[in-house]
Amino acid sequence: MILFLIEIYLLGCGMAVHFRIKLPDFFLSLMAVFFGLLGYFINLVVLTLFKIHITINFLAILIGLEIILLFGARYYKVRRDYFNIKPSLLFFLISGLGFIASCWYFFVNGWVFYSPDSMYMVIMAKSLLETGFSEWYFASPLLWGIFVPAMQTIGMLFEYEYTWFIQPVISIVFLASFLYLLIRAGRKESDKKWMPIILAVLGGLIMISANMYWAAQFYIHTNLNSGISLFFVVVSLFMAVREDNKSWLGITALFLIMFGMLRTENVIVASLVIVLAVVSNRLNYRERLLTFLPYLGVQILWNLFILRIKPVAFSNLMTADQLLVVTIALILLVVLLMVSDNKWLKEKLFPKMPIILVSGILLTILLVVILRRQAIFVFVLNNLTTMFLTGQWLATFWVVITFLVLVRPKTKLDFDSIFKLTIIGFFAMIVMMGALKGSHAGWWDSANRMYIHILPVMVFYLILRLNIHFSELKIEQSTNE
Amino acid sequence: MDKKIFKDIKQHLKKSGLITTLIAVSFTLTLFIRFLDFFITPTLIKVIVFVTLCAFFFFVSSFFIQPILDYLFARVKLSIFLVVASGLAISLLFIILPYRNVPFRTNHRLEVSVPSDSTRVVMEALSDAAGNPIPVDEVVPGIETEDDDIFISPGDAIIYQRQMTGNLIFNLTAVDNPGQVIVTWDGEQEVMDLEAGETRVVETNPFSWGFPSKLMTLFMIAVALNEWFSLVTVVVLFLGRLKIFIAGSDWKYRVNFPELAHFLADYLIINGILVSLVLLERFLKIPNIEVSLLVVLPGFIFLVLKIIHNYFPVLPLIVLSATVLFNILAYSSWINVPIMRPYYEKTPTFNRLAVRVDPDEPTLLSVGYYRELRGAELILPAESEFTGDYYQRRLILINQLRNLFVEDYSGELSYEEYTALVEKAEWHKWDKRTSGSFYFLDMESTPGSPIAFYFYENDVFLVPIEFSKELGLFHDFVFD
Repeated sequence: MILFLIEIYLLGCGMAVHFRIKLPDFFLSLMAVFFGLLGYFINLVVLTLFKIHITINFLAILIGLEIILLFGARYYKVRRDYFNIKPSLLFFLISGLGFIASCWYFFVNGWVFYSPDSMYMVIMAKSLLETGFSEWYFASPLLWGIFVPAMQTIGMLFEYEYTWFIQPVISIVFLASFLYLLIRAGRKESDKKWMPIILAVLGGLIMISANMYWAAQFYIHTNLNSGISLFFVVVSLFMAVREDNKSWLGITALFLIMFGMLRTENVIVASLVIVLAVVSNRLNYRERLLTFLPYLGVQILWNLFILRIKPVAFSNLMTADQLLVVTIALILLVVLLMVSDNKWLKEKLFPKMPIILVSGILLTILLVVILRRQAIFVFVLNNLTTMFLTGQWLATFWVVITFLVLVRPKTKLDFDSIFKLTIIGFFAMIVMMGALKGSHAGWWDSANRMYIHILPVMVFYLILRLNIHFSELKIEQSTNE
Repeated sequence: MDKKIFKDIKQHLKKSGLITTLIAVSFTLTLFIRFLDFFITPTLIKVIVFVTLCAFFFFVSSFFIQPILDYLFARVKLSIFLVVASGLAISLLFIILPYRNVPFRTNHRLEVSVPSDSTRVVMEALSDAAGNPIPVDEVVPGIETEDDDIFISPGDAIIYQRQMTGNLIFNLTAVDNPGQVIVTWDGEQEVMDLEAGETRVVETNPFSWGFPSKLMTLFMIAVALNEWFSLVTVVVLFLGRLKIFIAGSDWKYRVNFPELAHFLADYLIINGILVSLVLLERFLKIPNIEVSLLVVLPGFIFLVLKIIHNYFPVLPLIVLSATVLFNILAYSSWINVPIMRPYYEKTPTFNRLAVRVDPDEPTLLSVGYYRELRGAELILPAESEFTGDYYQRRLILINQLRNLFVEDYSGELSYEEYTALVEKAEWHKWDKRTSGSFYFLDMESTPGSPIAFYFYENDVFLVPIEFSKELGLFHDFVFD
């Protein structure tokens, strides 16, 4: 299995090298882990779609060929510079060793956290390997996406009953990437040398020390992976605009696909982020199409496929009709994307869209409140109770939310709306879903676990604002002196 | 806004004057007493909620109400007219509409008597307005009771009187035959007929004045006067604002202390939302006294933090560090908070996972035997725990079973039968959640086959019907 994990990492490297020069090697070496896992996922899904029986030998050969193809394609693209070896390439080696070492550590030390959902996800993984997409037991793609079950198949290919070690490894790689991005972005906003590092470390600690997040690192579930992918989607979009380096958009495109394949509800937040990015007018038409069309295409095709196979399981969250509505909405989003270069839209409608979006969200919430006023109050109270008291978040949300409201630097963060509206939109979605699904005040409440989706984005945004705040402080002090 | 915030607030407090403060206190008391269970709320919560609300209304009053007052003070005749007209109108309203009391602390008297021609009546679950149970020996000292139930025999009565806030809640049950009971609360009598075995929940009138002391009577009059004052103020302010609006260029409405108001805008918005939430919560009758504290307190904390942050801009750094420290310490035994920890699995197996997550037995059985159950027909012995309604529903629901039969056969295996069965084939053995094991057989060769349940101590065997026949387990039930 170690060899297969190395192969997965090499597959990720094969994808990551296509971003070299334009994105830092250290970051890409970490991304290689995610790319590798995403590559494995795509292979598994495509083979299953074509009803090809999956064996480890076949998969290993296929991935091996893909690695050769990916490196070959890179060679074809940059022939001369291909062998221009830089010391920073060592990061790939170090990250790879780190990935394998942590896999081995957690393989030997079976730290794992689970709930009944984890049990059903492992069965989804078994179903994927045994019956493909034809039969589902207990849970199906109409309840969750299949990314996490696909990750669980890695161990099953080697006769293990599930893959307990993969989630903590994903979490470690994410934390390293999170800190790196936070320091990199923080330095752009701050004129101080150490403050971005101190704040980044504090941000990381405030996030992982929250008990819910800590447990999620070992939890076989979709939540942390959703949080990770949403974080990369939002932050890479922000970095693309802030650094005026559109290579970041490649990261956005890949993680949007991962985000969409994790949970059925993720499509709502993904659509919101796409709309925000489109109406911001910060990306040109080509960039918009290249970044968002792959995800929308994959998601639409996936939805149509699910509609065709109509998976049956007792826990299905969505009905086929609801999925059809979502698919139509996605098609409309594609249309919006296609016509987004229209002059009238760009000049007249898009600048007003953030206000329209916020008003739309507020109106929808108002409608939900009117229709289900007693229930929605209880649900919102449950949401707040879990967030601040019973949801195992310790003091994290108290501080993050308080300072997000309290710290208002005079200098506005570039592309601030992507953070603000994503956070507002996310919580609005939680309220609306509470009206549909109900909620309770225990840590296992779905909405409470879903806070993990947005927490990394909130912490990142807060730390950036604090960087600006402390920079302004220095300026104010020197002005006063 | 910078470090002169304290100076501004100090100046603000000086300038705002008595009326502004009076309005803030009046609004706070009205809101608190009328909607937020002032009298029932424990003292500490009472103080915190009062301070929180009062601070909010003080700022609202001095920023937004003071300019209207300034306008009115400059026009004495208009002010007198508005005050007199509003005062009369509200007084009239108080006379026409019945004044709905609020629960307050007074002497109450409860008498529960059973007529001599009635059957014996049981009084149980006696509690006060906040839901706190009242010990039985406080009600009937020296009388023998059973499990906190008070038995009132025909011709007897119990009397309970003390100073309290709100009402009493209790259950009355006629024990053997239909009976009658007379409940007298502060002199108000109610006769209740009870069917045999019927239990009735009795809630006495929470707004009864009972037999108040002189001090409490004065206090209640003060509460009524305060509400009158609040309502008159609201009407006067509304009319005053309307007059300013109509006056147009004559007087331009300007927020008082605009810089400070702008600085505190987020606090005012947050607190406004929180106060609305508390009122909504009460309007929707979700009874929880602590909720008002939990909801309004963050607004006040935010105000305090905002002021501190303005004076000490490094506050976020300190608080973030302290929070990290607190969160980390929470994992030790130093801070007593429940903590979720990942499990350490030496040999992680799916069965171990499934047992750990603690599903019910039908779920565990189905998960262990997944795929095989869906197309099968299950036969359960009538005496088994799996024949319970919930278990059956669960089995059908999660496996989408076509058929599930409950048959009258003995599912208990003898030791010999158990041994023969175990030796018969290679079983998949799954630890049960409680004790024992599930024994499954690979069914892929005969999909959709009927499966009968057998038991040996805590073990459960799922046996294909062909097997049961061969082993002589197939008793006298008919299965087609």
